[in-house]
Order: sequence, then C-alpha cells, then structure tokens
Amino acid sequence: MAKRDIRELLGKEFIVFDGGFGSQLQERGVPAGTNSGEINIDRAELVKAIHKDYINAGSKVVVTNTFGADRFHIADTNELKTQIKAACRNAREAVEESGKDVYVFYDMAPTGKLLKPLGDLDFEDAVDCFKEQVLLSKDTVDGFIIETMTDLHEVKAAILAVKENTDKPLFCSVTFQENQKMLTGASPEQAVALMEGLGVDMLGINCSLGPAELEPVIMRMLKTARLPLLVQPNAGLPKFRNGETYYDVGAEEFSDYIRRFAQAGISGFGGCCGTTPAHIRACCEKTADLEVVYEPAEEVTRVCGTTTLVEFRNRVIRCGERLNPTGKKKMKLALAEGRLYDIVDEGIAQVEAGADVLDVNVGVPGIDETSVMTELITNLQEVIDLPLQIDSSNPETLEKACRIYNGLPLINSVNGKKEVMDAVFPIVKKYGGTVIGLCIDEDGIPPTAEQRFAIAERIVAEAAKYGIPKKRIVIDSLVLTASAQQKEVIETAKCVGYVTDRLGCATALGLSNVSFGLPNRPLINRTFLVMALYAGLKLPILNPLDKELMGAIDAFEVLNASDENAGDYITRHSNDVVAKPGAAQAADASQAASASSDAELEGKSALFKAIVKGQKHQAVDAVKSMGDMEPLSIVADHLIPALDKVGRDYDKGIIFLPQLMVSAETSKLVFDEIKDKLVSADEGSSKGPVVIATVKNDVHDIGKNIVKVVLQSYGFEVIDLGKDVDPDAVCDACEKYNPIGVGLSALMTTTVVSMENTIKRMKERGISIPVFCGGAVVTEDVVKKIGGDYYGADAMESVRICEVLQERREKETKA
Amino acid sequence: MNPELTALEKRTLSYLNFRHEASEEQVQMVRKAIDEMKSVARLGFASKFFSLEECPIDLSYKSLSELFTKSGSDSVAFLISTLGQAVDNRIERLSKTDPAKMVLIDAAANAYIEEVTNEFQKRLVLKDQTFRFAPGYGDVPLSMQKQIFEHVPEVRKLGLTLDDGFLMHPFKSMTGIIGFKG
Repeated sequence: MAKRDIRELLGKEFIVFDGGFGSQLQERGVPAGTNSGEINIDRAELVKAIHKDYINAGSKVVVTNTFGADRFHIADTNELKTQIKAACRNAREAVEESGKDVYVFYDMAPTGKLLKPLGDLDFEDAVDCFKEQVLLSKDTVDGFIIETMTDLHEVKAAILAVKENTDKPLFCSVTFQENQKMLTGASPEQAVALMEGLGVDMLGINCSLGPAELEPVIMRMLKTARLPLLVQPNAGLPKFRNGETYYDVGAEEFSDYIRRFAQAGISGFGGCCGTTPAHIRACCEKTADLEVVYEPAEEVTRVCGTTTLVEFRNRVIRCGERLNPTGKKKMKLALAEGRLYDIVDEGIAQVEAGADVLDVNVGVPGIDETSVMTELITNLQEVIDLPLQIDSSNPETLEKACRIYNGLPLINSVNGKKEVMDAVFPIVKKYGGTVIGLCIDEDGIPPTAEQRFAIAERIVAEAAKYGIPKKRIVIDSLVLTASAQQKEVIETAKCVGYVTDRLGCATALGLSNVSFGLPNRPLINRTFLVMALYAGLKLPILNPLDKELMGAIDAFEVLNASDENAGDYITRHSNDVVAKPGAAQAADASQAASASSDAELEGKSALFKAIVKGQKHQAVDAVKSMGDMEPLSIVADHLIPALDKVGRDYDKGIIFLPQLMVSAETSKLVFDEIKDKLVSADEGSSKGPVVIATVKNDVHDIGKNIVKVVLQSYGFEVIDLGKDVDPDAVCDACEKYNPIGVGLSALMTTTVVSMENTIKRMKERGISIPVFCGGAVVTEDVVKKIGGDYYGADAMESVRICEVLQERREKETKA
Repeated sequence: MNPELTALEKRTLSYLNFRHEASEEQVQMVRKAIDEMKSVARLGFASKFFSLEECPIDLSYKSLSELFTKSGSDSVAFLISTLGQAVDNRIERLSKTDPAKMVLIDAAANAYIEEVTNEFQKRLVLKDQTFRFAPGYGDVPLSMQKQIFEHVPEVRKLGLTLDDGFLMHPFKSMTGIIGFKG
C-alpha cells in the first residue's frame, strides 16, 4: 500500500469509483434475493471477478461488498465479522491480482432503521453499529465511503464513528428523491453543509435516481460545495417487470451525462444500481480529454436544524432568547420538575412568532445540566426544525449536546480566555458547529471598541489553530446597561462595525441587557437594535414575541435593501392596524364554532358561550372581565357547566372530537388565567395530579394527547411522561408525584403486553395507585385481564374516572 | 350521511367516530384538514408478487391459508404504501400546538392512506383477489413485517423502516397481503 493518499488527488484528477454489484451477481447466475453477504465467503472468486471487471473498466476505487453488513441486518456477531473480513479480503486480493494502482474503500450503508425521535434507534447505538464495521475493516482498506444515506442524523452518526476510530480518507454520499429532498426532508445545500461541517474529505450523491433526474440536485450541490463532489447515479429510474426491478439507461447515454457533469465541476464519478463495467468504461472514455474543474464555493456561515439550513448572508437572523431560565420563574420550575414539554411549547411559540434560530439554556442550580440539555434538545428537535443555539458555560454539556444534536448547531459560547478556548474549540471542530465568541477575557469586558475588537481577533486566530475558519465564528461584542455604563453602549455598536468590516465575521448581540433599569424597556431595546443593525449586526438574540421589536427588523431590512421589493415586509405587515391609544382590540375569529344553536345558549354568560363555541380569545377576555368574581364560582358556575354541555353534546354525537377538543383547550386557557387566584384562595382546589403515558414500545400517542388536553380542561394537573415509556419510569413518577391515578395508553395488540408489564411492575414496587387504561385495542375485558382498575373508553370517560379518583383521594386525605 | 360528500370525506368523518349527519361547519373542518394533510403528503407505493409455492415469506398461518384456499389463490401480492414522513411530522407538531387540528389531520391521513391504497390495489388488476390482509390480523404476527421488508427491498426506497416492535415509520403507511390467481 505504498500508493499516495487518495486525498492528494482530490480535485486534481477524476476519482473513478465502480458500479452496481447486485446486477453483476445476477448476471453471473446468482438468484436475486440471495444473501449477498454470505457470497463474500461462499463465492469469493466470483466477488473478486466482479471487482476485477470494474478495475479493468477503469475504476480507481473499488468498494467492498458490504452494503447492509451491520448488526441490524446480521444479528450473529461472528457471522458479521467473518463476512466483513471476507469482503475486505476479496477486494484487496482483486486489486493485488490486477497489478493496478487501485484503492479499496469500505462500503458503509444505512442501518435501515430510523433514529430517535423519528424512529426507535438511539444515536449512540447507530454510532456503535458503524464503529463495529470500522474496527473490523480499517486495517485492510484505504478509505471509507458512507453511501446511499437518506437521513442526515444517521450520516452524522456514521461520520463520527469513522473519524473517532481512524484517520483514513472518508467520503460521504447521500441520496435524494425526485422532489430534491432527502427522505427525512433535508435539502442538497443542507446535506453539503453538514458533511463539510463534520469534516469528510469528499462529498457524494448516489442512488435513487438516474443521471437525468439527479442533474438539478448535482447543480445545486456544486453551487454550494467547498469540497469536491463524487456522483454515482443509478442507470435510470427503476422499472418493474414481473415483480422484479430493472434499469434501462445504457452505457452510452449514462456516460454522456457524466461528461456533462464533469464539465460542470464534479471531481469523481461511478455508478449505483443497474450500472455495469460497461457504464464505467464508457464514462472513462468520455472524460479522458477533460480536466477536473474543481472550484470551491464561497465560504458562508451556515447552521442547520433537522430540515432547515440558515445561512448568514445579507438577511438578519432572529435568535429567540426565551428558552433560558434566567429571570423566568415558570421555566425554572418546569426545568426543576422535569416538565420539558412546557419548555417545548415555549420554543414552538417563538418559531411561530418568526424566530430563525432558538437559544437553549437550562442553567438552573440543582439539576443535571448535561442530561436535561440533551433530553430537551431531543424533545425540541422532534417538533422544531430550526437550528438551535446550545447555550452553556459547561464544556461537558456543550460536547454532549452537540453530539446528540441533529444538524450543525450554533454554540454559545467561547470567549477570549485561554482556558475556555482550549475546552470549546475542539468541540466546535469535531461537531461542525458555529461558535459565538464573546469579547471578554481574563481581564473582563474592556471599555473601548478597539480593545474588544482585539479580543475578537485573538479568538479568530486561536480558532484557526484548530482548523476552524473565521466563518464559523460569530462575534458578540457584549451589550452593557445604558443606565449604568451609558458611554460604553455606543462602543458595542462600534465594535459590531469593526468586526463586520475588518474581520469579516458575523456578529451577535443579546439585546435586552441594554435597557435594564430604565422605564419603557422595549423602546430602548428597539432603538438600540436598529443602531446595531446599521453597524452590521446579523444575529440579534431577542424575544420574538415582542412584535414591535421584530417589526423593527422587518422595517430595517426594507430600508437597508436586504428585503427585496419589501416583499416580506408587505406580507407580514399589510394587515397591521396602527394602534391608537385606547382603541378596542379587533375581535378575532374563533377556530371553530359548535353546532349548538344560539337558542340553547340564550341567557348563558359570555364565558359559557365562548367555551361551548371554542372561542379562545373571547373566553379569556370574558374571564378577565369577571375580575371581582370568586375564582371558584367561575369554575363551578360557568366553566364546568359549559364543559359538561360540550361533553353531553359529544356523547350524543352532536359535536365531534375536534370540537370537543377546541372547547377543552379554551377552558384550559381560562383555567390558566385564574389558576394563581385559585391556588391562593384554596390550596386544595387544584385537581390531580394524574400521570399519563403511552406504554413501552408503543409510539402512537395521539389518544394519550387527547386525554391530556381534556383532563387539563377540567382542571386536572397532568404529568405527561410521553410515549414509549418504560414501566419503571411510570413507577418513578408515581413515587415522585403521588398521583390520584395513572392513565396508560396502548394502540397495538402487541403493546398491550407492555401495559400489563407496567401494571405488574407497579405492583412489584408496592405502588397501589389506581390505573385506567385506554387505546384502540383495549376493552373492558382486557383491562380486567391485565390487572387494570378502570377502562377509559374515551377522553370523556377518563374525566369521569378521574373525578371519582379525585373524590376518593379527598376522602382519604380527610380521613 | 350527506350525499355530496366524497368517499374520503365520509371515511374521515367515520374515523372521527361521527355518527350523525355532519353540519356544514363540520364538513368544512374536515375538508380543510384533508387539504392541509394532502399538501404535505408524499405518496409512495411498492408491490411484489410471488407464487404461493415459491414465496420466501412464511405464510403458514391458519387465517392466511383459509383465505387463500377459499378464493383458490395460487399467488400472493405484497403491497406497501405510505404518505411519507412529513405527515407524521405535521401531526407531531400539531399535538403540541393545536391538538384539535391534530385529531382532524390524523383522521384525514388514516382515511387517505386507506383510500389511496385501495386505488393502488385496483390498478394492479389482480384476478379473483382476496380481501386485503395485513400482518397483525388473525394469527399472523406483526413480526411478519420483518420478512416482508427483507423480501420487498423497494420499501427502503420509500423511506420506510421498522422499529423493534415491527411498527412502520412513517406511521401513515400500510402493508397489504392479497391472494390472487396468477
């Protein structure tokens, strides 16, 4: 293996890979569907013959026959080991016997499973699965190609597994559907950003489509890629004949496309499904007279979430600051009690208000910051596709959070202190993130813009030593309080200008500090924001729910000519009503009105009507106008009767489930409005708590979520443990919260067993809290058989059960 | 039920457990939900046929053999369909933001996968076909899914995966087993 490292050839000569393997096996008489892994052992000569055919056709790299050679496809460890070793040996021997200067790459393919939270595979289990393959093959091969990847989170697991275990060259190739997206939704630009961020040596695209359909995707990748690109299309789109798949783009047509791609700038080619040595030979011939035209794209600061890419170009990027417990009692409490879903709600509210990125900070004393942060990130990424900004001063938390994060994170933060840079830069380098650099060092925050700029320069220079380019650093010049350090506020804005113009880095600022201690803080924040934007600020960290602040950005982007033709401004603001002091608020439309006729509602209170009709804003307004009324009588005389009417209508089939739920949500808002007063009026008046969970192995949680909403509407505190919940987690929650009841949900016949196990486990652990069960396959009989106490036929029935349990608990307490 | 409703609208209403004549308002809610669900759905289908003798998937279950014998089937078709990941994502997101709408979209998606799978099955024009059976019915265990995934590799291209409990992801996906005369 005295060959040159293939990395030296990238972008200089065409890297020619091989073509399809399965079709070659079939051509040699191996029946379709035969386990191609075993062939490495049973028919080694045949496998070698295919490798040699490709070498003779012009392939400079042959890949091992190891597609699907992993623990999820081959459960027996010894068998897996033998197959991988044999596959590597076959490829190596074929190269040696050919006497040609050819590289052997280990072929690493998807696990076929979906990672959490979309599927059930743990990120670290995916990493282990790939690592096992790397360890078995790395001594025999010249490099690795991760290919046919359909999910970027799995790509990340595979890249980490290779890079943590070998320094050998690593190529990574992803696959797209006809809508130019990966299966889990990522765009070509996002795939490029992620693979480059994680430090592969060559990018690739393969499979799924033929060259014609791949062309637009290839062009998009070339436009944004800084690394050389390898292209391996299928021989056309799959066609079906007698239930079998075949491909029909011949060598001539295929190679015409490859020539065109080569002229457009690709640096390597090969073939995927349905391609043959003839295809590869034709491609080599058609490109023989061409030079590689490899031109790296302009470097841009890029971060991504699960399916979104945010690039720092001419637009302002709005970072939501509200996932941070500092100064927020409610969030502190939610973190301390582990109610992460409440925090996710706050995240969603910011997304809907127009945030582009969300800052995530869980720094509360007394909690395990690392485990809460990683869990919260997983929960957030289940429903929020925007990039997240991982905010912690603890390097261990940053490392673990960056690892589990699906995408390229923003990392908040590093600063001019040597010790902090030593701890944080390796994390930034490894996980491909972009880091916020604070202009503070061992001596504190310097007063002048020049001095802060000097720290920014030092941060950029130190990062360069780790191979982190300045485009992966966003400088925060730090905002000081105008009431205390008035003269230094302008220095911050000046420093933003210096960094933008002289250093070429993007800039961030946390705004709200500036107004501390002054009246009408939003006015000061807004004005300072505009000053900083004019100086070049790209990433204001702010409260996206502050409409006027967000509006100031929209207006700035019009005046700064970055919102072309004011398109976004007009979309967002054309319905603005310019507020006049004292003007009444416009009535908002309710989401749904019930089928109840107005006659039935005659003589009822506004609150009663609003709940029955599911008019959220009217209901909140109505309860606000009942200011003097006892909160308990609001509940007893208006809220509960309204809900009971809705419940009756639902039972009779006059209204349907979505309408019941709108009313339930409405009454929950009313409850939230009067909750504080209720607690202070009478400690015992809050109901519950009720613990609910979808049982182990079951990931269908729609039924459980419905029950949650309806229970909450009746004033029950609900502890929602989520889906796929371990029996012991249910027991732990019982011990922690002492609930009045436990609701278990299972949708599948196969998971009713988990329901039974959960009840059994509770009994083993001596927990005697009543259990009610529900779900599509659960019946009264089933509940009896598995040892449950109540059968919750639907959400309304769950309410009736919980009312009984509540009464029972109150009697017990009194006794 | 209202005669002017489409099959998909009727099915969605019935999945919502609605037993009465739907009001105009309720029909509008369902229609809106169907439109929204369709705007994110990305349909995918795969199928594969085997003669019963050569089928590599173990079909030796009582309920299946009775079904095949009754209809005189000599072949079996495996049919897999999906609405794609985005529908799941939408429902998950709505569970946090708008549970009422989640219920509507979920029902619409369940109805839609059933309807489109029926359409797909029709296009295959299978002779003397049995009704569409699925793993998990009768004595056929859900674990048969694993074999189906092994022997119908096209499902991977649809983006489908199985978890340890043999559930398909995305959720809004269906597997059908149909006997016919080949």
